[in-house]
Amino acid sequence: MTTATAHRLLNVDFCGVKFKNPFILASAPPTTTGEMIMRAFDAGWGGAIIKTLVPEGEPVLNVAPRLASLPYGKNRMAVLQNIELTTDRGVRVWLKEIGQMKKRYPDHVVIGSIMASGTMKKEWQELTKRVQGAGADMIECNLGCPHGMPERGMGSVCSQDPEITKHITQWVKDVATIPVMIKLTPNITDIKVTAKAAQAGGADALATVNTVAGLIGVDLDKIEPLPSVSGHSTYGGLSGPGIKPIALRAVCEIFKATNCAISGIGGVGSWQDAAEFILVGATTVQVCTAVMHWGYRIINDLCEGLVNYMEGHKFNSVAEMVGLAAQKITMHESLDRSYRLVSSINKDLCIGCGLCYVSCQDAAYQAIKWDSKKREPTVEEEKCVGCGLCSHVCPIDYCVTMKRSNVALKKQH
Amino acid sequence: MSGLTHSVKRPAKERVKDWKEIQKDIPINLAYAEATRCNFCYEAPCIKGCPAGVDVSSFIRRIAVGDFSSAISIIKESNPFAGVCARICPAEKFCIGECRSQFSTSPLDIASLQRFAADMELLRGVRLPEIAQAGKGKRVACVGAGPAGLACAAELAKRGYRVTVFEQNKRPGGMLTYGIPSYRLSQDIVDTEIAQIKKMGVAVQTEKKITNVKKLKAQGYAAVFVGTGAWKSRWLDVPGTDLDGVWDALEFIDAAKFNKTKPRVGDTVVIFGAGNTAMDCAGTALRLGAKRVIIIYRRGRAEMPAWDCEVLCTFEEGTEFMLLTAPKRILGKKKVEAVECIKMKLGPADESGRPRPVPIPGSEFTIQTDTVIQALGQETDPQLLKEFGLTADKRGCIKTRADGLTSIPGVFAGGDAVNGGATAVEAIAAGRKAAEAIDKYLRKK
Repeated sequence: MTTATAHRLLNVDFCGVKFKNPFILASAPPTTTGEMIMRAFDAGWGGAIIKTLVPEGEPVLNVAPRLASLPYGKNRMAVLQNIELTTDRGVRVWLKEIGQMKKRYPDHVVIGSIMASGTMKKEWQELTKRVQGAGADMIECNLGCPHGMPERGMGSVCSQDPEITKHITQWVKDVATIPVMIKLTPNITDIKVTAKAAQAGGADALATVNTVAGLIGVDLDKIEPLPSVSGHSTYGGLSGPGIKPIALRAVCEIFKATNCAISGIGGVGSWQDAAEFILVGATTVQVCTAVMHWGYRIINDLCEGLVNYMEGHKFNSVAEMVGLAAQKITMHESLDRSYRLVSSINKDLCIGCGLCYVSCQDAAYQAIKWDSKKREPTVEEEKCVGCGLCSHVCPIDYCVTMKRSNVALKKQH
Repeated sequence: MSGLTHSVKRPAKERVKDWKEIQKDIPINLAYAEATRCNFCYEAPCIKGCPAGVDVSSFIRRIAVGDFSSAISIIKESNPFAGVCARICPAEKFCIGECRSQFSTSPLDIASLQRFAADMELLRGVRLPEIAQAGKGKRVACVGAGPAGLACAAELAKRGYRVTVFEQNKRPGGMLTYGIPSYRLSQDIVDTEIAQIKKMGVAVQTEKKITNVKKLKAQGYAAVFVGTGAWKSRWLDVPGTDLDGVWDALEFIDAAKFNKTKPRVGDTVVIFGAGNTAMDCAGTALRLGAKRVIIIYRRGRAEMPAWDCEVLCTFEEGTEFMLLTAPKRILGKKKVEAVECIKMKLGPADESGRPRPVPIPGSEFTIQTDTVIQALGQETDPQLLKEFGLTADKRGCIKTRADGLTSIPGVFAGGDAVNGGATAVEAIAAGRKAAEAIDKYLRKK
């Protein structure tokens, strides 16, 4: 299994660029230096996007701390917030490192990430030329960073405006000789609008989501927002498992609305997450927070798990999987009203905690009876609307499931 | 000590060298991890499993949400001895035994969570319950400052009564103080929780022996609670018990705990009996420097009355168990030199329902020893009942109604004196129940 990271099933063609596997390190702390990226390539990552370059002369002054997390249950970083800026290493240093990386790792994909404001045509084009001149395989235009950079007209403000998104894409495409990917912010009412604008500007690929704008929490002892930089904070960008559903929806929406190839981002930490992104429309997936948590080594379980899944489902390529679930997203109005489900409790597995009963009483349709003596819940099928709440609150896997039923629902008054 | 799935015992080799508690403190991350496993069951069965009726499920949820001061307040609503019970309650028989998670993964280590909540309170400062104003002025006397008497007093104080607890010993706490070695229950914890009860307004008069309950009523106490416990040691009357070096278990634990000069046990100690007190004597003897400690018990492992966790601790520390063995006589000139024993086999069940041990003729053997400790359990002293003029039941315990009322109007009783000797938490529950009955009685009056 040591070769899983280069397994034939995982090879993808993304806008003409060949990847050993669809896993790319997102432009983020895991790609802070060329040396780090090369270690990631050793570990088996298919590609990496460098920390975003801004025009020379743009100051990048970082703060401490620049991270804060929301732990939930056993997960120490269910959601991670960062207020880190773009790379604070010089453009020239990076250009040199891109060259080194490509020389030493010709089979791995190096993507240059660049950023400037919506008025800096010259800077966008210069960065594009310099990055491709250094040997990068692709360019990612960062139009999505929600913290710090928008104050200077860069980052997410760009992909919150379809006009700006479109003209930046055009500027870059005008000089690019390598594929161009536009990274979009989810902090917008309808991401389809900006995705279409990027496509209209000539984008080869779209990457989404960039971090979700947020405020991770408040220090209740000091009464300071987090992360507190000497008493003050600023809104930041959220990443990690908690934002995955937002990201899945965004990917699915732009898959259905455009013809661009998609790089899915947002809470990918396991092969299951990756498979989900692919099934709703992504061809590659980008990972950041999970690597920040566990290191580059997770590439092995991501690749092995995905290969096993693909073999189990007899998929011959990632391309074959792309968007299969997206096709099954429809209008609410079109959903099948005759599909009748009721709750079903497996009494052999039931531990008698009563959570299904409480939740049905207080947040559903009072369709579960409770025997206090036996500590036994029983579903009254004629009252059960099949909402499924009980199956989600039950602490035991497979104990409460939803089954098809012919018992008619009794109208409640 | 109970489940201890998380809170870890100190290694046996290390712990026998000192008198510090066996159980380590529970770190906050483990407490969180354990508390978040709670299913927060509907009609939580753990609550019904607790004799004192502690709202277990709610206090665990408070730990899970990081509100530790509420957690301890919830426990103390039902049990003023939160820290004590967390350490000595056989929780598997009570709350832990009812935990529904045992049917999926493993039951929650509720005792450790309670200990965590109590320890956090000690670290962060004690919040006293609000004292009710009703019934103010009426005085109540509690006889015996053990868990029953003090729990009764605390509950009455909460309800606004002026309570005095009379204790014949030098220190309050009853069996918690005199019957449990400090490596199982630090005396600091007992003293601290009693100090909290005193802060609620309860007066404790030590070295004050009460012999006449009616006199107390004449002194202006509107009601009396008798919680005098079960202190009379059962004594195996074999020849040689008058020799130097033969100890009564309770006297032995008391002397080891409080005497300036600790008892000198010599190299070998033989203990008669296999209940919790016998286990405590074994651990105490080891900590006093004994090289070899032997527990002699006439029945088998299955019949041993000590709790499993106690037996395990004792075994880990190196005590030898000679089961199916009965002492015949203690040998020696002036001082104990040896014990002559005889091997037993189990016959048909006796009146207690356990198999009756039968001696195997000719199987006598002798163990050289320096000390013998009689640890065959305790019972209620019938003499005391007679002095009080209280009616006894068949077993010689105080006869009461379900609410604790004795044969004398206005006099209530509970704890070991009534049940013949059980757990601290049951004594606490009885004390609180009696307090409720006393409150009702005095309101009617």
